[in-house]
Amino acid sequence: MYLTSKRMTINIFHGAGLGLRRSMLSDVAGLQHGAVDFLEVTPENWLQLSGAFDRKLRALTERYATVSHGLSLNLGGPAPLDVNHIANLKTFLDRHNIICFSEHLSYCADHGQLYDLMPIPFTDEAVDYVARRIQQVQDQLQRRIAIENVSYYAAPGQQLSEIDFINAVVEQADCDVLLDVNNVYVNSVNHSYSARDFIAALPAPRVAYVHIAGHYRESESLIIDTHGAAVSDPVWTLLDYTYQVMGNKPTLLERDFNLPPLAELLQEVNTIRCYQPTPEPMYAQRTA
Amino acid sequence: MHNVRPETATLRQQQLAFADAIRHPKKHIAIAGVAPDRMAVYRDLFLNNFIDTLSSAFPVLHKVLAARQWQGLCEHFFAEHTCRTPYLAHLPQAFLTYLQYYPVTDPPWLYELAQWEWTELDLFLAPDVEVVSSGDDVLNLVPRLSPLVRSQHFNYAVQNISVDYLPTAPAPHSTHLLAWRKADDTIGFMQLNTLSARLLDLLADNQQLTGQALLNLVAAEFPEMDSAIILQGGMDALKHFHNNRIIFLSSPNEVTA
Repeated sequence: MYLTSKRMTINIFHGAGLGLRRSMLSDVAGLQHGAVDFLEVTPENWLQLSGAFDRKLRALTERYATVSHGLSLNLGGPAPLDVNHIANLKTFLDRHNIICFSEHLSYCADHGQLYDLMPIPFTDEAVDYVARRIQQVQDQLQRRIAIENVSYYAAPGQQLSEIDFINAVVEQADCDVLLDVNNVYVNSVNHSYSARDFIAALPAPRVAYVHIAGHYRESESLIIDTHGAAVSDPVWTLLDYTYQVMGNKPTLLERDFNLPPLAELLQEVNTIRCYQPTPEPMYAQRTA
Repeated sequence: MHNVRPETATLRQQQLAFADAIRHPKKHIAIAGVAPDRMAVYRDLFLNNFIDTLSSAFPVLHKVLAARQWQGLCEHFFAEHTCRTPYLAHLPQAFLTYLQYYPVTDPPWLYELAQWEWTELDLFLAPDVEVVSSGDDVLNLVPRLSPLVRSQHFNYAVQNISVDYLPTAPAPHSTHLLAWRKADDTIGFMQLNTLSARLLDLLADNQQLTGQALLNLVAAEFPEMDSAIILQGGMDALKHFHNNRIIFLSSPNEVTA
């Protein structure tokens, strides 16, 4: 669905998007055309539902450019990859014409699923291991995937810096990046590093799209990535900086908890547009 | 695993130890480079996600149990479970299986209530099935149960359990409850009397008997009752089930065992 070369991904979605949640389904279906430029869906939250949900989702994915953000692939995990799940995923991505699929650079299971993001040790051994698994997923899905920098509260067994770890994985796996600007901000506070240096060090041409979300400030030195509040000012500023460094990128608002009325989320989607520079044809092309 | 020195631990050992530390805070597993307060952040996030998921899947159970008992059950399940499904929506079913392995006797109806509450989600998640009837003659066609129906017997009147009704002994008669997914994808519930409960049991296994033959069987099982009333009431019940897509009707010569 997107054109790839060895070094560059040319996005065919653009603008400002919204993460679709089941509870928003009917409200989003009633939106005027152009209220959002694209949607993002989490396959694990839709794959097992009855046909009625699938039909409602299909009605939306036929109207909107749609990307997909996975939860349970367990990319960095100790257990073998779940090839049955990847097969289901492939069916889902094809059925809904998903433009781009992303997953977390993380692991979420040991001998059972824990359904949340554990930090992969930043080591050379882990780079090799995760890159191989990303390649296995890309081979089975027959498409390149984007991996997301996750928020983390501890770095067990750390030997590499986070940015060196991510860049090594991306290079070795030959995959794209989903840049979560909120996560960069959260991590920069929790681990005392420069968020701007981190963003500047990413391979901009590989950044397929950007996430933005709200968080919860627990203390001076600890922020929890909750997706349960409005986007904070420092994160907007960091998004602005991201565009300065990388040019325009499709950007998606995530909200999972304390969901406000849709109109409020659309205001935040509009704020993304205000920050976005004029699309440069090189990175963003309108679909026909 | 925990005897491995951190500097020589393999990636796999590091990862399993980290997950173990999240699952079992009381073991006080030390992870190199991880402060205890940050480990606690992980513990809280992961456990609360489980508790939220289970509390919304089992709202009555969550409400009627003492907060400490519910928390304890969720914590133990979180620590011990080996559920590998990538779909969080299936976690409540794994919790039900867990309750079979670690039965709770106080309150005695805990498992039955959990089973009943799971039924709604089970039907909600069930794959679509197209069932087509070959007519509406409930007596001469072969009635069969729709796959989108759950029919269960309980020792306790689980549908009535609330903070105001916490039975201490089983009901004198078992409670037969029917749940089904309607055409609009909402879930319907129905309590069955003795006769329709028996009819439902026969329907569940029915491969080739016509509605009339099934009603004759029911009538034969209750000789003390007026068979005309049983047959009339049974026919009304079958019509009601058919109208609500609880049963579908096949032609006798279409049916293969």
